[in-house]
Amino acid sequence: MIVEVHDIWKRYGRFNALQGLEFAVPEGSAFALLGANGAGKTTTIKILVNLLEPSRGTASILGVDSRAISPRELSHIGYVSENQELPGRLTVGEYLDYLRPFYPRWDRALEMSMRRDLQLPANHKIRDLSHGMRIKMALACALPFRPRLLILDEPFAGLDPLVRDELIDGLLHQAGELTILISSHELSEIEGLATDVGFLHAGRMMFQEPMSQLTERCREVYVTLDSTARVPDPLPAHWLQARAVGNVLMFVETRFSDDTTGDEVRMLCEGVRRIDTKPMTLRSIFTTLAPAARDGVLS
Amino acid sequence: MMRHILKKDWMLLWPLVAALAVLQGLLAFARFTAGQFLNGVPTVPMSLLELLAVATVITLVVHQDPIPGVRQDWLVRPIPRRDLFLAKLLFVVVLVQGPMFVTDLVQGLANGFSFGQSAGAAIACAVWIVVTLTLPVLAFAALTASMTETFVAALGVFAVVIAFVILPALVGVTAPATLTGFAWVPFLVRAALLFVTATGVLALQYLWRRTWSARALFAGALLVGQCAAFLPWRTTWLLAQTLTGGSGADHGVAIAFAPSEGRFRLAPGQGIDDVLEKPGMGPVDVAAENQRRRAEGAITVFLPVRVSGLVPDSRLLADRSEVTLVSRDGHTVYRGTGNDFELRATTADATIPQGIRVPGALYSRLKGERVDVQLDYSFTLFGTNATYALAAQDGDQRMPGIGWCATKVNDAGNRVLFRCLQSGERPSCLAVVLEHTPTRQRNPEVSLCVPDYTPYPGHTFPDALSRFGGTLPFYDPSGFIRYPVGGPQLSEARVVVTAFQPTEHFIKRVVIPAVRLQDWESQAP
Repeated sequence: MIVEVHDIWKRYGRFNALQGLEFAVPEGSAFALLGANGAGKTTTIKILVNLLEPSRGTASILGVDSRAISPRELSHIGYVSENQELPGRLTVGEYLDYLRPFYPRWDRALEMSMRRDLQLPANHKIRDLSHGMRIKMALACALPFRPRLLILDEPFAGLDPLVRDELIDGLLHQAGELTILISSHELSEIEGLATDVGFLHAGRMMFQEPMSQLTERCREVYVTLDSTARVPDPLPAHWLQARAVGNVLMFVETRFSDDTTGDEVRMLCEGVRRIDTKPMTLRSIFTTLAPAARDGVLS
Repeated sequence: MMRHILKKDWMLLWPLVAALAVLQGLLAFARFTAGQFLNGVPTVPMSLLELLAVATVITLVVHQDPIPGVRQDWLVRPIPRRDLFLAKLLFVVVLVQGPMFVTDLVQGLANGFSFGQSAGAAIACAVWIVVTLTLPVLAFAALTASMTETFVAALGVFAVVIAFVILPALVGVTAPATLTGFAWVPFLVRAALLFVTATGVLALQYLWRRTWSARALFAGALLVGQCAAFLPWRTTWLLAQTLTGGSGADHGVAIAFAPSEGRFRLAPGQGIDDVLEKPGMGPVDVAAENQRRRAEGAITVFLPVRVSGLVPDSRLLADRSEVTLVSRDGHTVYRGTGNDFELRATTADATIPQGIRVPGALYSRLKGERVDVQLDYSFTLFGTNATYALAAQDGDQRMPGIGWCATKVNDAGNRVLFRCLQSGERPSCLAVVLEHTPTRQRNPEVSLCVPDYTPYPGHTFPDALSRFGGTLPFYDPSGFIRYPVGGPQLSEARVVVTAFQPTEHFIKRVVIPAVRLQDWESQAP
């Protein structure tokens, strides 16, 4: 695992931003850290790169305790954040010139190609760049040294679709052996990128699993009955957003299986005429799971 | 890596650094052209402006990569923090202090001082600036992330410093070593504290990024540092003796009450306001003390004391005289300080009126009663170091150990202005006298003693040169005083300059039994 987090707590006064957080990021994966605003995503990321110290627990990154990461580890970590403060009085070219000597593995050709692809104006001062250009600039500063781990904290926030696409293209282009840890609200963009997801709620990891597994187990289920449909009572905890319309019962199955879901439906509902299932997008999964997690009904 | 950081900071700040160097050069040029006579050159405001500019540039260089916060890009870059700190320090020392050092050196050389003397003074001055300005400002800037934060925090520091000036003054507490030659002791204590704190803050910030711990350390040290100014006199004296290795021997000097000398009589034209409580007090200090005395309704009594065993041509300075009044039943009724005095020995014995300021209410209660008076003196004995002379009008002479001195008559035509420049510190004590060369007649001697027993170099401000001097009156327009050497003799007169060197510090106690205070009030002329 390239990132491992064990029982991390972070207190701000009387508020617990993180409460015993546990997760791990497999090497080579693109791990999406999902969660509503205030769930603790940014705090987690800042702890990982030692910008913040946990109140309790340990986090390791590249096999080193996050509190002890040194320039050696940082030379293998790329970091892009929506609110990263870059030295505004330097030009794009000057800043890249400044950074280059700190990274022994800096790839000048990659830098030039990124500058070209992202259309970064070398002579513009960073403070004069738009938000989107600044994010692109941060990305251009985070990839040319071919990091082992790229951490992206809400990189797409506030970007127009065109810039977002350029960024994602830039990322996918360089993915290769790179491990990516990304926190974002832009779920539709992440969907094509993430191989693993972790769902954070109120400072706790609700679940963490490979993307394929998540999309496999979460399905919209439509059950057509012989008679007027009723929502079963009690409802299984893994059936979410259940509602009945006419003789159709609809719900989101969070433990979908070709083998068992049908049997369970037939056991709870009489007169099942037909069962239809529909794969869900990451956005639909998130918008289903997030309220359930908030209301404490997620099993 | 240090080189890259330094280069980046230079790229961003070179216009400011250049502007500061130009400012420093202009100030040095203004001081140089003024020579010994700085009249009209607002040295202190300009120097404060220079220091403010220096502090601003230091803060800006630190803030190029601020320590507090979690959003700065450099925090996630493989930038060794030690290299970052060293780059900032090097920037400040070379690019901010460098021009200061060069202007100090050039000024010394341009004023005719030797390279060794000029370089020594410039280095000593630079070291002190590092300890008392550069490192503390670096540390202070490392506690903040922006100029706005720094400005607000600086206002807070300023408020604390002002509070420590105003509050003690309101309750009548003064720092014991103020205006004495031992002022260097609390200064050194504070400088050491400043150095340790600045080093601690920089370590906490650059090595561990412990901003709140570093801020707490700074705030604590600020309070302790302000209190250190009020170091008790006895502690100050003992520290000075320990640090300088003084023996405390009195060299046969004795002191005793001399009632037969009678009451102190003010000189013609002199009021009690004109009697200095400490040698070297300026008009502002005198006005403040007089105001305080009047506010207390205090009465000053003068007890005649005879000092014996003096070596002629030496000087004896009472750095501090502590007074204890004890009632006849053995109760201490008052503790305070008496006037400090400076004695120029022409013979082995001399008498001085020991001024004691007694608060009004206490005086009213005690004035008719008999009390025991205990005087605890801390003395410094000065020996003659060297004597020189230069023409009273437009004189110009280099005097080893004193400096490059010049004379001229003031615009009003009633005083000779005597001014000197010295590379490094000024001599602690000088006496100047206007002498008619053919007849050897002399006007009263003028003491230019500003006691400073600092045992190390570097205490000069605003640059590595000391500027000092005094005025020698030869004509009194009011007619009260007639001078033996007046205007007509001036063309044949010279200023005789004697330098004195502190040779020993020692303490003495005098106990005067059964004194009635009202018997020793001053007499009108």
